[in-house]
Amino acid sequence: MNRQNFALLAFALVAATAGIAAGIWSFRAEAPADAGFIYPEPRPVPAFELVRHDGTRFDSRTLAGRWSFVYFGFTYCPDVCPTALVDLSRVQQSLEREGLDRDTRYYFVSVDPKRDTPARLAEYVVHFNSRFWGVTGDLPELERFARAVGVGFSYPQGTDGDHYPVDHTSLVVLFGPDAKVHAVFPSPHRPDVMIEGFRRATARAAASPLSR
Amino acid sequence: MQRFLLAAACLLLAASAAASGGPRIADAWARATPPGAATGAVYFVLTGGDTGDRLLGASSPVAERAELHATTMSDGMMRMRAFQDLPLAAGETVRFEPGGRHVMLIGLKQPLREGDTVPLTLTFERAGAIEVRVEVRSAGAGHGAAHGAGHGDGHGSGDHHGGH
Repeated sequence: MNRQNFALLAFALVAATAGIAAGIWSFRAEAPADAGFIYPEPRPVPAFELVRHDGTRFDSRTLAGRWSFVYFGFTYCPDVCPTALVDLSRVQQSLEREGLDRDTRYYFVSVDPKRDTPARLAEYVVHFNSRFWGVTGDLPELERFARAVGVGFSYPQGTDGDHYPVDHTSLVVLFGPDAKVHAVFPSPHRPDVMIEGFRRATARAAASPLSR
Repeated sequence: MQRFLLAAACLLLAASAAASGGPRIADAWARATPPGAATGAVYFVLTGGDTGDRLLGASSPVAERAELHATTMSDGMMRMRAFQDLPLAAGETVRFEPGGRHVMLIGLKQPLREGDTVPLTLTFERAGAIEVRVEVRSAGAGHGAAHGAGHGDGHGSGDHHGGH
């Protein structure tokens, strides 16, 4: 490669990095746009294995072939998680009214597998919407999946007894049929924002020659 | 103008005389809780009375105990922490609402059911115990939500395709 091409390539790389950094920075610095944060490139997640509330497996193959909203929380949570699930339920109802909901799935992944057994989750999620799935599993698998989508969680008072709090990132993650993260919606999880994000993400995927 | 001011002053005096003078709680509500839920959250609008006061705590017969809690965001994570008390200035309005302050009901003895009204006692330093009626509202109205007791709706997801 001659010097001029090298210089151009170096320039392009620096510009791209700066652009990505600026994009990430602006995401951090500003409130989300009216459609949440749609990743310029859908992000893959590493392999993980969790379990749904009916005992069936939950992994990348479960996500493949359909759009899925995933929220991370815990059933002992009195305020944040019920509020988010009510908002997500409104999204489901809106999308259903518009016929956009056929194969879409909605998952509540517990960040508190010690208390949130599949049976516990089964009775919890359907209270908000009978289309919701609960997900739980081994802590290392949960940590890998959560970290991959930018969700952190911790037990500030340990996990003794039944009444400990869990700190967690409150985030709704939208997976596409490629089992990759297409968009994220931080708190306050407004239904209209999530619906608009879903519209844009699905439209982009439909228009992309690479989408499947 | 003077007559108007006089009339307004009389009205105000009458209104404040009619009021008890202590803190007022309005629009107290909670979301219906899933069966087996250990916790619930109560929200309301609290307005200070004629003199400053301090909210010290809460209790309810529907739970083993109740605590004053606030949800805050720190390091990108939501955290819920108990707070000891809440100073309340005269006439000050403080909202207990989703994503913020709430009374956390711990160790629910029964689910909070939509349409019910449950009692909550708020204890103030000066005004003492004030009982509040909390309206339980739906957590998932509309299609897909399971309502009421004894429904067989709790069968998990609506779609059971083979495999994934």
